[in-house]
Amino acid sequence: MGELVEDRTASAGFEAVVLSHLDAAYSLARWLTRDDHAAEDMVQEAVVRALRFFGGFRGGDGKAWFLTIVRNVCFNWLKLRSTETLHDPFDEDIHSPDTDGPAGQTEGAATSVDSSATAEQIGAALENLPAVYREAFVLKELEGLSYKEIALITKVPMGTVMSRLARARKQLRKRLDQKSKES
Amino acid sequence: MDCVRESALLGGYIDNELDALHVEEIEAHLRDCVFCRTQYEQVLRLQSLVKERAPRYAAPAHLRSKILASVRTAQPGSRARAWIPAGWFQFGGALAAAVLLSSAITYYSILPSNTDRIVDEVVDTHVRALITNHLTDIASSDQHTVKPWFNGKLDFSPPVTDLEAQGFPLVGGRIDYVNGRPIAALLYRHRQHWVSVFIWPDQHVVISAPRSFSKRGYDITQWSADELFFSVVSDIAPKEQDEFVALLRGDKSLQ
Repeated sequence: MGELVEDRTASAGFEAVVLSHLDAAYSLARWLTRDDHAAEDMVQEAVVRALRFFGGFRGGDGKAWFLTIVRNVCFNWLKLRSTETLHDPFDEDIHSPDTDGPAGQTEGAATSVDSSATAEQIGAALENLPAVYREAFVLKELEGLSYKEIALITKVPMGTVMSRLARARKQLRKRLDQKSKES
Repeated sequence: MDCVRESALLGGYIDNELDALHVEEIEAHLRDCVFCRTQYEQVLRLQSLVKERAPRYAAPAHLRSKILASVRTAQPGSRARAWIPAGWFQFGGALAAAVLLSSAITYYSILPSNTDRIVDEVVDTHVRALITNHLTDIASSDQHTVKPWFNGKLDFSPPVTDLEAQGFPLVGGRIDYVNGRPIAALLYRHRQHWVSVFIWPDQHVVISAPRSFSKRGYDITQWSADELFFSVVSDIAPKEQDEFVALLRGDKSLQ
């Protein structure tokens, strides 16, 4: 997407950047806030900020630029309004000895994604992910962004993007597991 | 290779984000390790399930229009001025006179027999793009970005002109399907309104003076040039649409 918004004059660019990425912005805000009205407020707030900072935008990846602002607005909101953890959660899989490797294969290997899962179930599973996993997953799987773009937007190294995505996928698989759903 | 390290790298492999060395390493590992192969398949399954079925959220129409309005009032310096630049009336007036003159002659030799159907179809296409919010496949106000984008996607090369300075900024382009063939669709904006331009080759139709129709609250203007058939659809004032058409046609001959 980067090449699409290059070489713009400021006046020509702003509306084009904001308009063409409005859906992506709303989607990210909706997944982060998990609330329709809050998502609208976040996008409006982001547009106001974007307008103020647009002078500093030197072309390049307009989508990542705008989504970064949306993301920051959402995280500020989450900080104030929710009890959600906004950093990488303590993950037992990482900090306890090898439960995911060959020694602990039973758990991981036993998960089987339930292909009959409904939109509601998938939505709920996604909304239940910790915020930092949720944003990485949404940006990757629903917006189709690269690790580099996600790293830029979420202000973490690409390695962190990769591990957050791995955690997100693992948690989703657990939640959408055939067996655990039946029980 | 140990599988703990594998689990994050596996994602990188699936997302096509690894360098060649790591790709090779992972592929070798996947051949040997049943556990990781299952993980791999499960992630792919999750991926397609999410792509296919996860709820999608698009900006509601009222939010979009609210934002458009706020962007425009917040940018009086660039926006308001951009649509009526100094010299516009002079330039537009000359073009309008030229259009009046040419339409007074109303020279068109062959009209497509299926004019009505095509008019209906372009209106439908315009409305459908707005309703489904599938406005552009390539969003850019740069004609030098939009024009080459069509290369290899169509069997003709549509003329693309940005008319930002004249109050009709180019928003982008997309491929659509009209009259039984893939066509070029260009989208322009005029204040709160969208203006579609549909272009496809038709060497049998010659309409050298633009013809206008009204259908369902939209104005349609059609003409042909260089064996290409043009249709403009919008809900802007007919006079403004005439100016837009004049600009599109005029700019072409100026280049």
